[in-house]
Amino acid sequence: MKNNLFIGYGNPDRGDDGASYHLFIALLNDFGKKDVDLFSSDTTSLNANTDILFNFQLLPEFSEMIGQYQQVVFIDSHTGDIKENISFKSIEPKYHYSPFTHHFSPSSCLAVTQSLTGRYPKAWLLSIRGFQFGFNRELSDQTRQFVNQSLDIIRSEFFE
Amino acid sequence: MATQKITIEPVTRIEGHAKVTIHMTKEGKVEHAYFHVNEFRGFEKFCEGRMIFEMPSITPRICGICPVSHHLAAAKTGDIVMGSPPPRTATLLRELMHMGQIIQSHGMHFFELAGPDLILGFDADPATRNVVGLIQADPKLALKAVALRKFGQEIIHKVGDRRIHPNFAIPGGVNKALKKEDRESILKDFDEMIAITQTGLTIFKGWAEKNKEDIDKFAVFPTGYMGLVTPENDLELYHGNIRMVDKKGEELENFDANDYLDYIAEHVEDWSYLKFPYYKKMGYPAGVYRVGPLGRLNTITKIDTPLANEEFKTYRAINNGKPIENTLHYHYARLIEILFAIERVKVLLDDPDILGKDILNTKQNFKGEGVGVIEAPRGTLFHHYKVKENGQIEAVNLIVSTGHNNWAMSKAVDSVAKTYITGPEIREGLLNRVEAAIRAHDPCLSCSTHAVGQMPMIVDLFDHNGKLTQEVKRDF
Repeated sequence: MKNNLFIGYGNPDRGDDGASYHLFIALLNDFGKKDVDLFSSDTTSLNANTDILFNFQLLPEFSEMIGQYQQVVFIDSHTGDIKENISFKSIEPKYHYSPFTHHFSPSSCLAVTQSLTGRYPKAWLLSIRGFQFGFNRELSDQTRQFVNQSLDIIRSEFFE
Repeated sequence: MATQKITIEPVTRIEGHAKVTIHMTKEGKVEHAYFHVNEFRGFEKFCEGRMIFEMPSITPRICGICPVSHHLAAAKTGDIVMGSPPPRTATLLRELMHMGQIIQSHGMHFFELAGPDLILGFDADPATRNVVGLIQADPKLALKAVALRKFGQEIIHKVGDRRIHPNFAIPGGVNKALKKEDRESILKDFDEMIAITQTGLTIFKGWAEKNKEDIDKFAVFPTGYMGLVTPENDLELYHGNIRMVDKKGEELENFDANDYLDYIAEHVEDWSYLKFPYYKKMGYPAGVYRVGPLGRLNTITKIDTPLANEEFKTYRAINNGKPIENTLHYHYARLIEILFAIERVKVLLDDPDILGKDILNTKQNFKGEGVGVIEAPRGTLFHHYKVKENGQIEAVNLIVSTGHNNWAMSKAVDSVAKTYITGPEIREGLLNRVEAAIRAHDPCLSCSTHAVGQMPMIVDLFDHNGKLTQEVKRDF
């Protein structure tokens, strides 16, 4: 069983919604991995213990994969209804009901993992405040700064 | 008359803003209910000035749920604009990718969104009326559901070489041939996927038998219907003419997508930002129609794959061959379409041309304008581009599937609210039925972005003076 899985999700074509995508690019750079196409493969190994996975959104089939890791960090963007600019919190399995749409939360993902496999990994949600969500591939200056600060959190918590 | 207003609002960040308001009388009866959508339509503007060859890569950004549909619709529009019809192999491969999209999207909808209502019951505890409750109730079924969705996703991945942001179809064809080993890898799961879908059909039909009374009073109303068809009026999801039928199933029109503006117009209501398309000749609201699985199966005469066609015969017998008006039968129609899509995958993979290498037509005969249409999982999707001679986009018009069903969703909400809500105290199970009326259409309201904490369900109760008297929030 591998140690760590980082799952980043959001739409990199909608400005700050792609915070996790930009964070992953920087993280890959840390490990000397350039020209990785995050849209192609299921997971990309940063080292022997750590994989990353990027997608537009969380999907139920990730739940199976998550069960193969000891620790999982979900990385997303958030808007003003979460007070902190960077929120890094442990999460537990809890299914969140989506009344209309195909929406799947990190806690829901863990809940499905637990139901399918009987266990779930230790998990956190790292979310980064976003400000601009228009159709572009750039981060706002503020979110770029928070992405860099989030990288420092990841480096110190998981790679030192 | 004194009224009370209830608002059900999943607050989303960008294009999603949608809510339900239920206006109640002082006596606790529903006066009227509406489904409001504040859809973000900045995307068309965003495309102006871009190059036509970029559109298949840009338009999937609209939607994280059905990027493949936008990708293929954009490429089909590009074929017409550039006067560059794709070689047969490219058309087969595009359709194969599209079937993957149909399977994964429909599979997720039935087993994970609708399944809990059907298997566990509309009135089940909301804490367990979800996919986790489903897993606990029937773990084997849940694993099958995951496998079905994964199968569809794998087709997209193998054909397009990318899980997301497809970069595969381009005006004139595709940029990647199918590998023999990928063809075989997809085929090996065929029997299992058929069996899983048939399990879904058995579940639905068993439920329908026990809940006929609910089905027959849950948002049952006449409309017209629209969908792509083959020249024989068979089910077609990738390419064909558009057929419209009336509430009795009589053909109204059968036209090329490029002429859609001659047949479809859009009405504006002051209570929704999403327009209401209708059949021009009948006017609004007489000309409203439904799309998606129920609309499509009401538009066709048969299905040209054997298992799906057998099921279709049973389905059409429900209303003696006439169109099915029951909203809850969207689920039955969706399952039949999964069966069709899986069978169609085999038909496509058994075609010797599927492994061909002639995948791109580089000859062009520039037309400057074109309309690409495809049956996205949730309904007919139009892309219409006007392009300058240098290939730069001048104007874009998109009519998305959820738009076509706008009137029907609001009507379904109104109908269900009036049928089930009869007193001042509204049970959760009743509100769930109202939501289920929308869910049945599988709308795409907020799919491009998914920020943390963005989709609480809010129910607001207003008194007859418009004063907020109660707010109930479902935490996400």
